[in-house]
Order: sequence, then structure tokens, then C-alpha cells
Amino acid sequence: MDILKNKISVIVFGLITTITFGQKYITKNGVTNFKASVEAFEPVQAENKNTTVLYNEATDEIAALIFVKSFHFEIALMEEHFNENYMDSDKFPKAKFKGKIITENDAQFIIGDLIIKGKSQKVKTKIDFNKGNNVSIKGAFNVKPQDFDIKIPEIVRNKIAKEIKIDFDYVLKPKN
Amino acid sequence: MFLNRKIKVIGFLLIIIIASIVVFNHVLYKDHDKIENLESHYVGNCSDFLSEDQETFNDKIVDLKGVLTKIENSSLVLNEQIFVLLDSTQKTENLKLNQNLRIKGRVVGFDEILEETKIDKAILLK
Repeated sequence: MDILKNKISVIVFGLITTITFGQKYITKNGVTNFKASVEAFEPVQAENKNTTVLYNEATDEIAALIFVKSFHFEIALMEEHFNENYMDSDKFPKAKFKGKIITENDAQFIIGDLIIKGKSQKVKTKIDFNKGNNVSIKGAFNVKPQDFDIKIPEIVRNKIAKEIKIDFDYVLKPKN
Repeated sequence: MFLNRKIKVIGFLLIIIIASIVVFNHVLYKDHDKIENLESHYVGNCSDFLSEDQETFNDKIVDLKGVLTKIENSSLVLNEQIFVLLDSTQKTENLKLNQNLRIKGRVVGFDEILEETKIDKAILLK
């Protein structure tokens, strides 16, 4: 009887620890947008609806992966230029983020490395972070094209913003 | 003489207008490529496809048959390892889990977080 009790308590304890400490949350349909529009010119913006995001509750670590080619532009020619001339997405198909969620003065921040075109940059930004059954992470930050070795030709320089705004909206579900 | 010149001018203008319309629609504002019209680089079963080196299929059009293991919003999972994002024209209402399915789409790449191959712009085929 005692052995059985022990076994049950081990199982129960195991279950509790996995639920409270080991839970991972994941999404495949994260939405990431970027806007590089300048007023009075054609909007330069695109949406990616299949960002993969993994959040580990135990360590507060977060990882995200985007396929550059799955950014969708309204204008097909713009998408072609984005992939071929700016992002070189045949050579660098993925953009990645690896970091942590931290709390400072009651506000949540995401901090980590953003890797685009093989170049890594530190990013820190305030986020809306909610944890219930699902985890929701929302926020935005700016990046500069030159930080990632993205060259913007003189001729279009006025039509593309100096700072590119990236916003994200992820709803993560518990991973079984 | 005068009339002749007028016709020339009008003709010239017409050519310019038509040319700009063509450039405008077919170069600057052309439609996105339609998957239906593109040739498949690989045709076969999901299980055979998964045994190949996934990195070689980046950006290629594939035509795959497999078992539907998950339906979520506008995306499907075939054989538990191929994540398929459907084109916005496609409907998932009549699909049932574990049914056989044939899709055509573009391989985006291999997702190492999920260990899945991602396909987008996919359409359902009979």
C-alpha cells in the first residue's frame, strides 16, 4: 500500500511540476508586420501570418522564427524586390529572435538578439504580456536597415523610412 | 496636311497611353503568381517527401499527397510534419481529420523550432 502511495505521489508531483514549471507555449500563426512607409509615397509594408514562437515558462525564454519569403506585400513587384534586392532571402531564408521576458518596474520587456541576414542586433522593447490559458505577447520596435547590412539604393531612399517599425502580435497555446 | 499631322499626334499619344497601361498593370502592379499556373518541382507522397533533404526544396513548388493530421484556422498539418498555410481563397470546412488530401504549394523552409517543413500559398487539389 505504501509503495502504491509513494508511486502515486511521485506521479502527482511529476504532473504538478510539469504543469507549473515545465509548461511551454507555442504558436505557428503569429502575426508580424513591418512598416517602412513614408508619407505621400506608396506604402511599404508587409505582413507575415506564420511566425513560429516558442515560450518557456520555466526560464522565461522566448524564441521566434520567420521565413522572410512569407512576408506578404500588397504589390507583387515590391515583394520581389524585398526578397531579391534587400533581404537576399535565397541566401538568408530565416529571420530569428532569441531572448527573454523580463520584468522591470512592473512592466514587461522583451530583450534579446534579433538575427536578420546573418547579422545579430540587441533588441529591447516593452510588451503587453498576458498569461492565462494562453499567453499573449504584443509589442513593437524599430530597426535600422543598415544594422543588418541592408542597402537602400539612393534612388528610392526618400521613399523608404529611415527606421523600420516591426510590430508583433502572438497568441501562444500550451504545448502538449 | 494639317489633318495628317493631327492623326500622327493622336496616334502617338494613344501608343504612349497603351504602353503606360501595359507597364502599369503587368510590371508595376502585376498580380502575385498563382500557384495553379506554376509547374510542380516535386510530385509525390508526404512520407517520401519527408525522407528527402528538406533544404533542397526551399522556394520550390510541390504537389503532395498525405494524411490530414491537424486543422487550425487557415492552416493544415499533413503527416504531422508538414505545416501547410492555405491561400486565402481556400476553405477548410469540408475537411476531416485523418482523411487523405492532395495539396499544391510553395515550400518556405524547414522550421527547426517545430521540426516541421512549412508550405505556404497552398491550394487543395482533388
